[in-house]
Amino acid sequence: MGNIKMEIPANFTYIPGVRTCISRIAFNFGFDDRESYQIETIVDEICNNAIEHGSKKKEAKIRLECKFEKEQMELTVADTGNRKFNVEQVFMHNIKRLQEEISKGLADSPHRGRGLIIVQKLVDKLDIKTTRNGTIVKILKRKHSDSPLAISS
Amino acid sequence: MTTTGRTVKISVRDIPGHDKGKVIEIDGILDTLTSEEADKVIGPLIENEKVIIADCSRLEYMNSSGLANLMRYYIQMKRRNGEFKMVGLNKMLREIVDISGAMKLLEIHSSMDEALKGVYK
Repeated sequence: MGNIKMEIPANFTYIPGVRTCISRIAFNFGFDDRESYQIETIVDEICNNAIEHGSKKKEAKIRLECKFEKEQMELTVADTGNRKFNVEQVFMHNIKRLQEEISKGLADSPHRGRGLIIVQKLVDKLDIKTTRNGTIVKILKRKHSDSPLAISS
Repeated sequence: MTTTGRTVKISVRDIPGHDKGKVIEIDGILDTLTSEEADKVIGPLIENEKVIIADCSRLEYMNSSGLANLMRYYIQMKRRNGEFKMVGLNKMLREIVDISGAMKLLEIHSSMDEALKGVYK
């Protein structure tokens, strides 16, 4: 139905506009209020992660591609990498740590590292691949509502 | 529902009927950019007050950075034997806090009265 491609500087200043833009487009494609809000969170967390853990070079960019289809959206975000940080490994470690802290009710647990864990719970599929060139995060989110504002194909 | 893309405004007032503690009203967005701004106001209060109630009824959006700050405030207050409580989170935000695992760590209440129960003994 529609592809959106963006390349933005790896700078947090751009994220509020990007997440709001994609969230509003999602609403017009028939995702309901709650789902559109979730999509704003998903875009925000993935992009923040790409900037925080991607290349620190001045000219660094992150690339987003968003595909809207009748019943779902796919989002892919790629950064150009920071050789010292493996997002895929850290994500797996954070999930395990979070499960431990919830089961133990830890009051002084580390409070960072929850972004992609939140994303994982909000999407139908999450794929993270870290290579020497960078990290690509890809999600699939299916629609679970029939908003009257949905754009027809 | 999508957010307005606004910034954050923090207002501080006394807790009604009590001469100690503060209510901090968080209005707008708590994300990676605004969390630093919010911390300039909230940080000193965390160091000096014994009771803080964060009124989140006008908090439109929060990401994991904003949530991390709130968790840090809670932990810092607890270490000083203080209280950090939250009220007024909307349904969408409660869901995000819940799925992040933080709901079981933070003290989140449905009303100011409930938050104040047992605080002043």
